[in-house]
Amino acid sequence: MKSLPPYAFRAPIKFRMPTSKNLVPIRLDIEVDGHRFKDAFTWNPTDPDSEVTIFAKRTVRDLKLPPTFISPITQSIQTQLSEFCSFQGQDMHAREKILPIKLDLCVNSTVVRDQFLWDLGNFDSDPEDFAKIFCDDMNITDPQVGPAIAVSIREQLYEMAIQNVAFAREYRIGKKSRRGFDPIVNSSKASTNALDLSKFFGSKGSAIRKRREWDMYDPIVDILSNEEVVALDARDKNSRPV
Amino acid sequence: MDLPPETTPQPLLLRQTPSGATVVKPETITIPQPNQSNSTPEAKERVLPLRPPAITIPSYSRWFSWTSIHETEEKLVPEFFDGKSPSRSPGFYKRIRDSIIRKYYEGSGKKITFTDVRRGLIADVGSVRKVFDFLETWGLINYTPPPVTKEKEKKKSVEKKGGNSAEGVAKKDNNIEDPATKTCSGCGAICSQACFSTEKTEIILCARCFVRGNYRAGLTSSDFKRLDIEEAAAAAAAAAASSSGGRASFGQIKSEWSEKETLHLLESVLHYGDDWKKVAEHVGNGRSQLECIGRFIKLPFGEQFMATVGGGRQDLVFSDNEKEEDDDDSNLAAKQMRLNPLADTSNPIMAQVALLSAMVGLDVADAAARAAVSGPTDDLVMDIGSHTNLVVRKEEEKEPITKMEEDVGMEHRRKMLEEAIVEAKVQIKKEHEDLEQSISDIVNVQMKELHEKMDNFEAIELLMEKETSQLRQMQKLFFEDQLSSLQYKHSLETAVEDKIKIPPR
Repeated sequence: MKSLPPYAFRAPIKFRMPTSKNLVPIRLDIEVDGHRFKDAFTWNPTDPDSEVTIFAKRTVRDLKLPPTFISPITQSIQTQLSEFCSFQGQDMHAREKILPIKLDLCVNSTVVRDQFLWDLGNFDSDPEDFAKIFCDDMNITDPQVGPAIAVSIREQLYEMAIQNVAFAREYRIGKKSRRGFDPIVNSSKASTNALDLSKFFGSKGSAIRKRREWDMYDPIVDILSNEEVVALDARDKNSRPV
Repeated sequence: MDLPPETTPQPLLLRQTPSGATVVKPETITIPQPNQSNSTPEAKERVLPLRPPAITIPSYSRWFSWTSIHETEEKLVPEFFDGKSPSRSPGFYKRIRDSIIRKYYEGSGKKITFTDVRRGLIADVGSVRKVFDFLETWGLINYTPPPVTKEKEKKKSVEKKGGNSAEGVAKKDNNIEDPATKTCSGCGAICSQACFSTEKTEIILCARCFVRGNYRAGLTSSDFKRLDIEEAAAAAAAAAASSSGGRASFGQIKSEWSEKETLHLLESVLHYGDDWKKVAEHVGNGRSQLECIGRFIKLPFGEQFMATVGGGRQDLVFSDNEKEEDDDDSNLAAKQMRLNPLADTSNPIMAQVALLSAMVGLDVADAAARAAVSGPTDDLVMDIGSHTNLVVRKEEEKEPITKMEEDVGMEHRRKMLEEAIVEAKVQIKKEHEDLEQSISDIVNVQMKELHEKMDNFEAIELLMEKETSQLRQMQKLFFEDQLSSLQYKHSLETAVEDKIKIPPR
């Protein structure tokens, strides 16, 4: 896969998730009458609107939630979807951009903590695939961990992709002179987190991480006991502004 | 697959266990399933733990296979196969499908919810929902077969009351035409005795369709509630719309039909067919045509087979049906004992054939036998099945064969087959002759052509000869001319010479 150096100019493309499947991460956190419902999943934006109501009703029925949940669930999903769609018409730049992705989630007593690098410009990347392989490699038996990982990755990619769009808009507005390309300006203005891989490939660098960095990038998967889960929940709740 | 022909795709019970072993029960069909833990393409697949109990799926889903995608799936969930959506592909579909079904099996047949499944699957929830709904509709997951206990109960009541059950059904045949408000959405017939409605959808089924499982996939027998309909006394008002099939229009004849009379009746029907006048004559005893017809229709042909044949048919019994015709019960019971030589057949296929040919007219059974000779297919069975249903509905034209006529019918069919063979041979001969005739015609025509050509050539030759002779003549003439002119020249020359010689003196 030939990838152009970071400063090479690429024509902007229409906004989409920088993954092979253009799926939207949806997160629900709804509180009605003292009942709290939290969930996260992936949604295909090409599904018709009717699908949202069907999904909401199904979920409420399957989980035996009070029917008052149907409406807020529907609304929340629709809001997030329309937000995604509003970005869709805009331009984004697709160039190689290596950014760190962090996983820090707790699903049903399985705790997963990890960080790794992801190329935002790689439109062939697949968080679902990553999640599946991760679970297999780490021997995670709980099937609900995989989707949670995939959603988490997607959310972060989504965030970063949005920043790209926002930047592209600013850049177009701010451009005064008609320049053929000014990619160097681009990359400096863009998020500075991006790693310049060219540093690593060359006579001085090596693609292999330094030893002291190994621990940082080692994934942690823990099975908690019930008490620990409760403690974790309580801590999360407290840290959140009520 | 060797399946006995079915008239409707009723859900026979399939037992399949995830690891591939099959459980055989008398009324179930078994299909060997590959061991799916080896068949998945994914490298690290979880091996199933202990062998869960057998899972049943309805027979209309027997096409399912772990290793392939059936065209039913391609048709009903096309989003994965038309390539319009980049995230949906057949491989994706198969992965989701296999995961869902495996999850269902892991739960040993406990119902799984969509949310359960989608939380455990790494995929977008829209796709998961589509596949889940499809599988649930087709009973591949969350399917509960109709309860076995109910059937067993009915079976018992059949045995207790002997001929009554079959008779009740026969009567039901008659009563189908009675004016009632409920029309069955499965077969279109009017429901008389009892109807079954489900709250899930607006479907009302007559008893027959309900028992046969003639309802939309996705509904189970437990979804239906039974509603009895007030039996309009068959004697009275039924005269209204009904055609002559209704017993009521003939009035109730209370005098019993003796065995002898019934025998005569059957014999005469066999001989005279539709000619009820002669039948009545033959039966004698002052039985009018109408009585004969009525009696004939009332005879419970073939219904008794339903009690003995395996599958869901035995529950065609409704105890409410036996209210009338108690006087004929004992007679019929005895008669049936004698009149069904084929009923005790242990060969289920023979029983089925007997049943079908009993329920259907002679012609149809005949055609079926012929078709059977040339190799039956599933479609054909379905056709016969639907044909059977149609014929059952057509009360008045119906001439069901009795058990006694069975044998005769068989011979008749054999004779017909032989005749057919002879006819075929004759036709073949004719064809040959035609062929030869046309060949000789062609040859004749060719000959004529050749003759004409030859004549033409002869004429041309003649002409040529004439011309040649003419040319020769001309040649001769020219030659003569040449000669004469040469002579003249010579004579002139000599004359001149002479003249020159003489004058010098």
